[in-house]
Amino acid sequence: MKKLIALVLALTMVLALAACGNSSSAPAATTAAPQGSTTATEGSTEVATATQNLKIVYCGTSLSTDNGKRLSQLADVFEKEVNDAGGINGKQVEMVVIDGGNDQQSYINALLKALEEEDVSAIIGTFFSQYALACADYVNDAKIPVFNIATNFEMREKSDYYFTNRCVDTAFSNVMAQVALDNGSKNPVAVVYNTSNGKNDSQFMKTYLENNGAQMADIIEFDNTSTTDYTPIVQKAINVAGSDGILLHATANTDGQSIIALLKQYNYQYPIISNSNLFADQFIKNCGAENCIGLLGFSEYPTPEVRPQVQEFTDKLLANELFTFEDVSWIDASFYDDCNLILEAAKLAGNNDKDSVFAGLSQISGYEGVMTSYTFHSDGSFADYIYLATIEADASSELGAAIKVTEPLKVEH
Amino acid sequence: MENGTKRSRFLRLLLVSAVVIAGILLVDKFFIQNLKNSRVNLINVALIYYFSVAGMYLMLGLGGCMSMCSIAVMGLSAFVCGFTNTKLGWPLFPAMLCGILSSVILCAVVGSLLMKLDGRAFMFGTMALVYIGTSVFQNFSAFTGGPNGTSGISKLTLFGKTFSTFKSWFVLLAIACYLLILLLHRIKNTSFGRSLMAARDDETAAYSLGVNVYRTKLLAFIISGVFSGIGGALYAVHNGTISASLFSFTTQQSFIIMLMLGGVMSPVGALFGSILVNYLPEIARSAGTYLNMLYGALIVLLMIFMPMGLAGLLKNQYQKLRKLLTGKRKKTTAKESA
Amino acid sequence: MILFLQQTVTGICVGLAYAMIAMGLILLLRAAGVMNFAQGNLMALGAYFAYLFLGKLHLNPAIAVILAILSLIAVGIVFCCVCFFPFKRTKWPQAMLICTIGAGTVISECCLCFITTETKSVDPIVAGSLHLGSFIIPYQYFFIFGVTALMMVGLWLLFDKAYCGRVMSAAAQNKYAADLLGIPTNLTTMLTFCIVVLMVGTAGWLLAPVYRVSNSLSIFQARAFAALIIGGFGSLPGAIVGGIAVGLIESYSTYFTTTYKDVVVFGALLLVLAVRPQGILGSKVKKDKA
Repeated sequence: MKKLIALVLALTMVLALAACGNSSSAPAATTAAPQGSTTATEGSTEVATATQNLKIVYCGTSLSTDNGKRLSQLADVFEKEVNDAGGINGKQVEMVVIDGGNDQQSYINALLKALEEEDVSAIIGTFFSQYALACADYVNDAKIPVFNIATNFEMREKSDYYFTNRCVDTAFSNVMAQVALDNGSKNPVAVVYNTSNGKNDSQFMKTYLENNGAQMADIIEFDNTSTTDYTPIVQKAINVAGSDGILLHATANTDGQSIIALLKQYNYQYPIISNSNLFADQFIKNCGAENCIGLLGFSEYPTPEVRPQVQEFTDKLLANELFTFEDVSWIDASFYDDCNLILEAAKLAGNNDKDSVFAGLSQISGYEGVMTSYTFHSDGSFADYIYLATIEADASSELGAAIKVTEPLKVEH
Repeated sequence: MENGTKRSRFLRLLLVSAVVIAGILLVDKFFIQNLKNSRVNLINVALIYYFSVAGMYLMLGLGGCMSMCSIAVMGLSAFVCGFTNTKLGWPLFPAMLCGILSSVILCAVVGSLLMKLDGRAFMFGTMALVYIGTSVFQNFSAFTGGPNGTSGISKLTLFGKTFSTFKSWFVLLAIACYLLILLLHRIKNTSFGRSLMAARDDETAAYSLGVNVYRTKLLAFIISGVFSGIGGALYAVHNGTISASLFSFTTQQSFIIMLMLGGVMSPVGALFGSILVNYLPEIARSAGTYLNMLYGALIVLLMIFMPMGLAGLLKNQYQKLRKLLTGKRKKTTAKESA
Repeated sequence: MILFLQQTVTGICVGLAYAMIAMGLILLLRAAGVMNFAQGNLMALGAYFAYLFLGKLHLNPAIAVILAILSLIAVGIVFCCVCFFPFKRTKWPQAMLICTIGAGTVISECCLCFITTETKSVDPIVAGSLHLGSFIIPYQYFFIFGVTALMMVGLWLLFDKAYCGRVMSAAAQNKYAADLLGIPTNLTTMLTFCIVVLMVGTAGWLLAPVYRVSNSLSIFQARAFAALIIGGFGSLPGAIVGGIAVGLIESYSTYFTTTYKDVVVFGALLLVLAVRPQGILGSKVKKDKA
């Protein structure tokens, strides 16, 4: 028995050493390769002159949320539309949708998967800048352009491959603060959600106000994932001594709706200036028209009167049988514009692979999308214009209120 | 105990370890190195999560206490490691040790507070810790970097080799998990382990036999805290960037699922449960929008039909097969026959 | 001073919401011995039904209420059959708890898939609010208060006065003895489940106009657990007192912090566990009695 044990032990030790010897040669290669490298990288640089399909992967949200369902349908719509029109650079467009999950680790898993999709040309990523920042190293290694639907300026600082079709928060915070000043609010309170977006914006708004002879009365942050009742927050905001306005930065879900409804309930008399999330028809429908009337702020998504492309897009989308929703939101337009920017970059570069798309993106100038015209800027954003917006009572609209958009403002980068 | 049986036990341990390590190296060479990076990342994260799940096995399987705070302890260790490494500039090993130490301190303090209470109050107390943890990690910018988290944590360098890719981590994590399983098996056979199981089965009887239930459970809690702390420090170094969203209550719920899926009485089963649950979005990708619903339904079915998990199922089948093959009626105790 | 009073009122209002969920938890704990982690999702289900029947299908309110009651009873029966009956003879008590976690996920995903994915609003029963100087209390809160009081009285009458209530209590305390006495324990347990689901669904229905219809209603659950511990584990009045206490703590915490609210509430929970583990209204008994 003992001899048998000794023999088997010896055999396994030999095997182990053999395996060890073989695998130790592999690490020398892998340590040289950066984290997140794929085998596809060598392939595409060798065949740079050949064309491939334009493959766009969307991995931003969980597919069971509202945004996830919308955008996966929109991906199908875009794919069919471009392919029916003849494709791009002689090849087809392929849209792949990956479930991005609800938290950071799931997003990291989904993005790594997206980065490894064979012959991927570009990726459309997340709404949350903190997830994007966590993945910056992987994106830098894979060298694939990623369009995030977030607006944090810090994303571009971490990676040259991060783009956004919207304008970054340094730009629109100044706009919001200026709207406050124009409407007579010299001492407003900032009510923001506690993500990095909200925190950065409140700081930028404060700086702008102080540079223009006003001041910010207080900054109130809230956590929109764990707050049950927004009443104490609104009460605190209303009761800040000497304040005469509210600068709101919230999403169009429970937090935005609750805060706006509560402000109306408390008969808040001073100007309420909000970010672009709240200037959407769905928001008016879900929150209640009488609550929203009088809201000021800016919108990234214009109305059909100001920009006819919006009406075309809305009509086209609602008529498409692949899109089963009854209304069109700015998220749909933003995603559609992201896809079209990638398409335009491929067209300008003459090829569909990721390096060509990356090169082409920096050449885009004055491209007319649905939301606005787009030009590449050094901070990774594309939007040329945003729009000052208000919500006013409108008896002719079935909602009872409508978004009125004024002249487009050139975005300062 | 005679020297002969002790030596043969030790030799058997060496044999098994050699086989397992050889197996790990073979799996690494032929399977992992050829796998896509994202898949290796999934396996690595599953192995890191196993550290916390092993702690939960100790608390729940052996100790009978449902402890919900493994993720908070993991998070604290990860953030302390990140903070000392990036903001204070310490080298990586002292930073990791600091993280593990902080998790021990947290478990000692919280444990001494909560161990005197009955099972349900203990569970809620640990749940409270998770929510406090999430809030602090998200908002305490000076310590954790706020919503953006801590980034730029150094890469691990061991024996002259830098672990800069996911694939290089697999062997290290797999061997660490194997050592963890060995440790858990060993704990089960010590007097501490037996006291713990006695306290789980009947506290009053354990008291009457002279077991200091409070101290035993507190020690188990601290040991599980050490495991979670090691896992957290490794997580910080593996990911390079950590933020509060990695340490939420939903991840804690998935730890519970991992443990129950694999088998609440089996550390090896918990390992497989961990890998399976992490891999689930891959396997069920075609479910699309129904993925979460399927996941929930699976949990319900699992608990109804397989409460002892995969390990329990396999053990049952093995015993039935053995009965069938030998034809003899094996002497079973009341516990095993269920 | 005004702000303090305003926040007191707010705290009591939201505390009632926590109290309703906590009452359901206590009942279920007593009857089945299961800590129901799907309670928040059941409350969200009530809110989703409110949106479905009133908002989406535009039914007559009376029909909507009857339909909702029937649906909630159906959900209660299914919930009982799935999460309780298979576990009557299990060795592992935590299995039931994990089953409720899974059931909660299924319920919330079904709501998202079949009803709506957006955050919607529902009209309150009586729109508008009461203005007392600078105090503003929406009329909906009076309904919530009234229904909570009704529920409390109803449950007290049921369990203390009515024969069937005593039968249910007996079955909850000691199933074996109840079986010996000929009490149909399965039926009574199912009845308790239905009552609890109905209660928490009604809570969701009433809270939907105030807190909006979305899946984030399930975060009320964590606070309800805190309410249970702070108020005293195991008694119905304890649940209510605990709920109001948690509401007030949360409301007052906005004086000095708005982002660390979780820390304050759950820190209070840990403090109560450290100093007075039996809660405000609990008695010093080591094992909790049914």
